[in-house]
Amino acid sequence: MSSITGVLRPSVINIRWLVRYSGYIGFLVLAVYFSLSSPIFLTGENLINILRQSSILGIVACGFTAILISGGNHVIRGGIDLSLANNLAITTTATAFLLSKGYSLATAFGIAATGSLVIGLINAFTVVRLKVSPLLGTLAMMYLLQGIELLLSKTKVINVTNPALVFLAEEKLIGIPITVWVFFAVAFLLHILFSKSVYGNWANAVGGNPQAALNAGINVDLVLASTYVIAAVTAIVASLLVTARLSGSVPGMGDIMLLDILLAGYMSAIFSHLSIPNIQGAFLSSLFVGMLVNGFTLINVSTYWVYAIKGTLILLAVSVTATQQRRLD
Amino acid sequence: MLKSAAKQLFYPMASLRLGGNVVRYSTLVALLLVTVFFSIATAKFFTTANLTNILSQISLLTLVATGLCFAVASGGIDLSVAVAFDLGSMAAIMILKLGFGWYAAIAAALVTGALIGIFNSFLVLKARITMFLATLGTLFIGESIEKIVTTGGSSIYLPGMDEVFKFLGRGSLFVLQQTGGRIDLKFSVLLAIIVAGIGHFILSRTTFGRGLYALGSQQGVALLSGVPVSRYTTYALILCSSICAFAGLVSSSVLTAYVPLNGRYYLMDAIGAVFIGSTLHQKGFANIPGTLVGVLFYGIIANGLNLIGINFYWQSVARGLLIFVILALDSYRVNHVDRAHS
Amino acid sequence: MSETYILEMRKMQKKFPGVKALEQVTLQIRTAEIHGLVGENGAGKSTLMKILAGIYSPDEGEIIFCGQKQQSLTVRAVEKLGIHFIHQERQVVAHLTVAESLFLGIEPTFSLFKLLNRKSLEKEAETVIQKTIGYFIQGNKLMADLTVGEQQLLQICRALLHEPKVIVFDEPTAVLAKREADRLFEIIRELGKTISIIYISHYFGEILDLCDRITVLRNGTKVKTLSTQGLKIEDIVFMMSGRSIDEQFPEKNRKQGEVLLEVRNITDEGHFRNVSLTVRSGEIVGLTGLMGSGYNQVGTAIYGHTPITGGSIVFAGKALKSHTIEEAVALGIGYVPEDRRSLGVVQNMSVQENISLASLKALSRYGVIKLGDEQSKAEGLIDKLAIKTPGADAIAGFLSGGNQQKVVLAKWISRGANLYILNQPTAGVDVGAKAEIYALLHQMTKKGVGILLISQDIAELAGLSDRILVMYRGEIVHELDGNTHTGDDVVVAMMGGDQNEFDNRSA
Repeated sequence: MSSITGVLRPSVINIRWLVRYSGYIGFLVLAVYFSLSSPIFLTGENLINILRQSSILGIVACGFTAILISGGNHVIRGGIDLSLANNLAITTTATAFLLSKGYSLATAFGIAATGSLVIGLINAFTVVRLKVSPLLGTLAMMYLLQGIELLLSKTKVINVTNPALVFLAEEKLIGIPITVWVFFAVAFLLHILFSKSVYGNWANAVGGNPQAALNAGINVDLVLASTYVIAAVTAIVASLLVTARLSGSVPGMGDIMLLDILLAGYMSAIFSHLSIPNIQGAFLSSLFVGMLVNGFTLINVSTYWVYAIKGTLILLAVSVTATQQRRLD
Repeated sequence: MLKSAAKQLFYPMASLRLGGNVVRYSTLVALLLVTVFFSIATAKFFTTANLTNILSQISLLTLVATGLCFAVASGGIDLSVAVAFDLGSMAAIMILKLGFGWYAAIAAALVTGALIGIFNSFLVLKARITMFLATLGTLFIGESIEKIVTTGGSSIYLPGMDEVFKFLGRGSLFVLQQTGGRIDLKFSVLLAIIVAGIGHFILSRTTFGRGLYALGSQQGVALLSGVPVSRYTTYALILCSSICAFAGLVSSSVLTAYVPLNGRYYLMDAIGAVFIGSTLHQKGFANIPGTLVGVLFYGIIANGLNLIGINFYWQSVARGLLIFVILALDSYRVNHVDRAHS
Repeated sequence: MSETYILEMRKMQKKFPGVKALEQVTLQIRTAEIHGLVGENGAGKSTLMKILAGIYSPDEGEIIFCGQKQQSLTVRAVEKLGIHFIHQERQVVAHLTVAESLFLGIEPTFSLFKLLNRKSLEKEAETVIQKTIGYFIQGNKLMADLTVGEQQLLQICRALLHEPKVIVFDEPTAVLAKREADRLFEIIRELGKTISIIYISHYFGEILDLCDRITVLRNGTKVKTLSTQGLKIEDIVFMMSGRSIDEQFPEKNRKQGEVLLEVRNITDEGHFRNVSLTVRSGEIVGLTGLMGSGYNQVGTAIYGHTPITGGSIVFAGKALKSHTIEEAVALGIGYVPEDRRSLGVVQNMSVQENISLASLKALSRYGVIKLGDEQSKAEGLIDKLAIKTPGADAIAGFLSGGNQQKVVLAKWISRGANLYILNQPTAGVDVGAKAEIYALLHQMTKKGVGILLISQDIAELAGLSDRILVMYRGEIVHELDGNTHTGDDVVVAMMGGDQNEFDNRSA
């Protein structure tokens, strides 16, 4: 039995090393597998495709991970936001809906964005003030948003045309689409925020041990609430890009995205040697998911199989990091 | 002698004894208000025909919610009831298509449910994943299995059908044609009542039920008292999935088909119903009688809104709002009102 | 008063349901003194300190700090005043580094979003640590990788960064190795020259070594405050343990039957090594030690709750095979945990449901509980144990601590257990209920039950046990005869005293 503070014994090193770097190993293995299975995989155009496909997910995954970081991976009080995907969906739908009714992009998006922010604030309130468990509270919000989204979209695709949106979707800067740049920027900003700033230190402390953070004089409630708002902001940013990409909105988007967001969020812990959710990890797991979808499409694996694989990966990721965390406790 | 017998019969009901709890009262008051509202809003509501209709309409939800009760009683929540429902339905239809009889279909559905329950149990006990996330994973995996099998989500129909099987979902216990409407009490109502009744008995009167509540409430105490925590958790999960798989089977009888991803619809409402139910329990435990009230609540709202012509979309908003209020209230009660012991 | 006190807690009064925690306790601390606070568990030390920390508010009494009366202290206010606590349970964020943890909440930057320069932060951390306590700890080490002693040093550093006027140390050496403890003492002595220190500990040797004065509490009242000049350990023990008139211990001449429990050489790495003991029918065996000696892990290990590597446990002639709780319960062992509210009694369930929890099988037929039987059995036990409850169906969580403890005992009596492992059974229980529980335990042993009494309550151990096993740093080091040795002997033994001393004394 290894001691509590993780003194390494020679026989145990290899397993721990494996787990620590399992994220990177998995990433590499998958990349190699796809490169070998399809000649198109490693082409410049395809790689850009992967980046593009990962971008939307990546942006919201970073927001979701913010909640994971300060909410803690803890079994009982674990931070989570199940409504985030539907938040993205409804903001997109709202923007498209308003655009189709003749409002300008600025107005339409402005209203939708405000709505999204309100959702984030309600979530924050529910979790922090009403002390509803994040699981149940955001689950409820998820259902609520689902209902409202149905109302707006009436299960139909909404198509809009708008030059600004087209610009966003099509334009490239030195060969890389704007969407990807935005992804990089958001990931970079949040990374700096959570690992290099004072706020980040606080958020990590709150997630690791809220009692200790409270003792240190940190306003735990405020930190927690802010993460829900950050998540909403990422949803806002992403939704504009989605609206651009789809030239409108598509019903049922939230369902699909939920799985991906959860996966990217929980998998992020695998990329950290502490097995703690983190932004860089979210960045990498978003790419991982993008690569997964892209690769399997190239070798003609049905998306339903991919869905099943994603579900299994979530379970694996959670199980692995839970065991690691227990060692840390 | 008579007194003790009566007490034995009603003791489990006594748990529903209303204490001075505002939230508990408000649930029943809300139910009453809603009934009154719809009775006034439309003449079609408070007729025997319609009320019977409501009962028939809620029989599937009753089954799912009953199953879910076991999972919630164990201290967690089972989100995979949606796929237990779907896969149970799928198993039944496929067995029937292969030419076997109704008894085989039932067996197939129950076995499917049990397998899902075992899988969940493995995730929770061996992989140490919290029940919520574990069953969420199962939900995702299960739905993808459905999509794979049906290559995209198309329903599987059953042309000719076993008469008994057809009766399960579509048969009527009692039909009466009246001027006001047609009173049609479906057999599925009886099925639901029986299952709910058995479930209630198990939860409130057996050693298993008692141990389950103990471990769901404070696992440490149950563990130290010699309650077989792992075993009971597994049983609860298996029961939950199996009952929901059975519900799926009945639904495939109603629809004479297996409709993929149908289960999701029931998941949300079942959660709401179970949580409404727990507010009615003296100790705040998930329980069958309370859940039945919750199911009734949902049934009345769905039926009533339909009758007054509210479209499907507004209904979904209403249901979303409803569950939000329910969960907020329940958490509030747990964290603020019942602070007596901390 | 010619003394200038920096801190005065005057006539503190605090009552909890069923227990009077503090009764007219006055604590006065001078500037630049090291003041020891001594007393058994339940004597009121922690309640007093929690009031000082702003966690509890006193029913009566006033707190004066630096000459100013303080109204309604909050945790934040207390910190602002300059009073800091080094707690027993270190609240640590495992995955932060030393530097991040040290400056948590007080990061040396101006704005919230300012970037932390990792390298310079770590350098600064190392400098600060070196300066304030004279030791070197690497700035980028993870908190989880520090030893307990180092984590504690960091805690002290943090406190010092706030320029405190008073620091309270709560049992700081309980989990420290000797070398670390010595280091701590040096630091405290140095600090004591300029600031005031309240030092709480069960290690009286340390107290006499370090402190200028001490205050002794017993059963919620202050016994005395006096200088440590010329004071001896026996004097402290005498002041602490004086028997109160109410505490009656039933006489001990019990007939002892065959061996019920035989434990041989069990080990749990990190907690205890090679522990062997026996408990006979009708016997009460006390097991004690200081925190960190492993004494309270032995109980859970025997019960099957925590793992053991090596060794064997035999109960009533049957060897425990699978080492699980279920097996232990089936064989007739019952465990009464220390934390009764979270581990002993299901707060939300009724008294009746709690009492029957371990004996459901016996009270049921084909899996169905016979509610009538359950109720009558519960009522019988409520009567017999004098459990104060409005009824068998009352919610257990509303009962007082002492009554909840009785419910736990009732649970095992209902089961018919033959061996009871009691873990701090009367902690936080009021004097009246304590006496009742002691009488009950005596009754039980008369009927042939064997008891393993794990406790830190010296009077209880001495008063109840036929034999007392004392553990020190993971091993059983002494076995004292309950009839010839006194509580004072136990205390000395707990701190590693010499076996010869006892043998000489009892002669």
